[in-house]
Amino acid sequence: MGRVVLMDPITASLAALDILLQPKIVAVMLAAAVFGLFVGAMPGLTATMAIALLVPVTFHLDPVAAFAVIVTATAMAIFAGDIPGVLMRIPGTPASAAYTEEAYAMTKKGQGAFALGTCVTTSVIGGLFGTVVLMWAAPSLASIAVKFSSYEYFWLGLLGLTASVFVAGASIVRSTLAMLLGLLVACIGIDVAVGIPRFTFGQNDLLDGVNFIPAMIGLFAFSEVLRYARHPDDRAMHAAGANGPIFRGQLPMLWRYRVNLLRGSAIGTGIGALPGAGADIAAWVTYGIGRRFSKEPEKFGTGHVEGLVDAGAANNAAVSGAWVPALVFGIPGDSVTAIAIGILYMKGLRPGPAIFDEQTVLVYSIFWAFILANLLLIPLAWLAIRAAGHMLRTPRNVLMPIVFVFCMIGSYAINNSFFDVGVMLAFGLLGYFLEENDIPVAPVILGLVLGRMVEEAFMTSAMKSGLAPLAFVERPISMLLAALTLSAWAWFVWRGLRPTAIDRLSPQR
Amino acid sequence: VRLSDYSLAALFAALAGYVAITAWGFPTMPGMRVGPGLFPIALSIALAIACAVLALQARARTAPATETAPAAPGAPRRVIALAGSCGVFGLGGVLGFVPATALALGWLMQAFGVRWRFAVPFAIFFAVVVDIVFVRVLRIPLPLGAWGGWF
Repeated sequence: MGRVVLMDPITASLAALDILLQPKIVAVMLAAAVFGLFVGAMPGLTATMAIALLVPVTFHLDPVAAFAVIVTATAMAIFAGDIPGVLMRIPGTPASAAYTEEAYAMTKKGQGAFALGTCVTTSVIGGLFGTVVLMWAAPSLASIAVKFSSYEYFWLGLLGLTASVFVAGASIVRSTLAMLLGLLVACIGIDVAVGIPRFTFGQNDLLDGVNFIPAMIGLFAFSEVLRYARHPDDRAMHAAGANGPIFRGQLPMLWRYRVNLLRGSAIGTGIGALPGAGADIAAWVTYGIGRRFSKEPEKFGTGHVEGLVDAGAANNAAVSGAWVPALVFGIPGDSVTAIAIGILYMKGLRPGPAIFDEQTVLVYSIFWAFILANLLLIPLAWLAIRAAGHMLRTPRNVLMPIVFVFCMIGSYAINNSFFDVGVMLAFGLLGYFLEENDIPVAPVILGLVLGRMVEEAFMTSAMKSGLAPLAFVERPISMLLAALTLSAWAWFVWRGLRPTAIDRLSPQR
Repeated sequence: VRLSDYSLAALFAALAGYVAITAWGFPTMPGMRVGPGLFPIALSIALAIACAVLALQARARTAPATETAPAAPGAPRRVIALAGSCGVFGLGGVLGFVPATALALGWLMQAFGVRWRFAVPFAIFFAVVVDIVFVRVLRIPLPLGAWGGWF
């Protein structure tokens, strides 16, 4: 079985590095790093929101610069979420929530600087580990994926959507509603089979479908502004001190907890590669595993550094892991890669095994961007920690109007169209409504991104087979994927109809 | 906007019904049984099943209903200011980006409790900086408004 990458990997790798080290690209990476650190460190603003707000900027950059921006901002934002967690017990992003209690307990014990240093070093190692896996696994998987037909892609898309429902962290029924809503929105526009307009309500602007970027900005960012308007949270943010050298004592600590570091990085990468499961789930799972296998489990929760190692490495490793299914199959591993896939399409590129052949340099530039971003994290994180005291004093009543302006400009600037601003506002209201009703918004995005791909695969398969159901499961891999998907749904229906004790006790609304 | 599970199920079921009825009217491909309505109809069936499961789960629960969290004091004023700021931004095509953004931002900041003395100069400064970054540095055009001919 030959590899799909036809261009010599070393040549492609060197060419990618050459492009990435151009002053213009280094400058945009640095700007994206500062932006990512700022947004990640602000409680309530997530890494996904940072990326959503950056998308309009990437629209005007060439593909390598665009992906360097996305990769850098994500890595920085995920780490920066640890800063307010350590200093103020407020996780900057959901990915830091798992070990915020532990980190803040260390700060109260006077080990704040050491906790922040641990967050930096484990993030860098986890991120680099995930990148190595990405570099190795993605091209290897691509050589298998090239043999996939529309049947396999249909089941794979469905499996990705299924996984997003099961790991969204909310009730499975509610996640399913969100995912189906996203798929329905993806049906808007000219259909893939015969080219007639569907659900466009006579709007020419909807013929190409709902623009993904304003929808994304609305769901993640504008809904947050709306929530703030209804329930402002202006608690004073007083950062506890974390003076002192942050890197002192890190090497002996990393050596002592080397197994945790490796385990957190490996599990984090694996969870990141699952469609729909992102850095936050990776952190929760690895924190639990770290405690389960610790020699000193009683110390967890009291400010024990071991609790930070597994999860701190896992959340940054998950960021790279999420790119494996995104690049190989066009199935996003998390919300950020969902946006990245949207950008690929926007640039006229199609994720999938062929990208390793047709866009080898771009793929290697993404790998290099991960390595550079993780290395940049060391000095920039040090600076960010020093500046954190000032940054965290930005009041939310100033911050939220600024986010509002970026939502407006971001959606307008894509096509210079106020229609897109309207789409953003509509999706902002939708996102607010969904979250008020405990319906997660991430599956909506996955449905929106995967909708066209799943429908295209479904229609191609239906036309080839004349809608014969058996044709969908005749090939061995499609049979396996179908079995996995259908058994997951069968379990869901059975569980949904027979609520567990927890379901029965949860309040009715 | 917090709905009971039954209302939520009914709302999504209505959406499923609308999609199914509309998609049923789409033509099939010549000589084939499939067409552009097939996928939306399949989705609407799945949505209807999910709604039924949600309603059944709600029926099986025994815990009392929770209270809806009330909006914080002053919420209507802030929401109106947010809607108004959206409207002002929408006038960007006439007013131009910088004035519209400064107005919208200043209004929203004031409604969120920032003092005028800070909100107004900050809004103007921020709008000008964003305009410079987008238009001059990133080469992303923003609306000039009725003043466009002057520049």
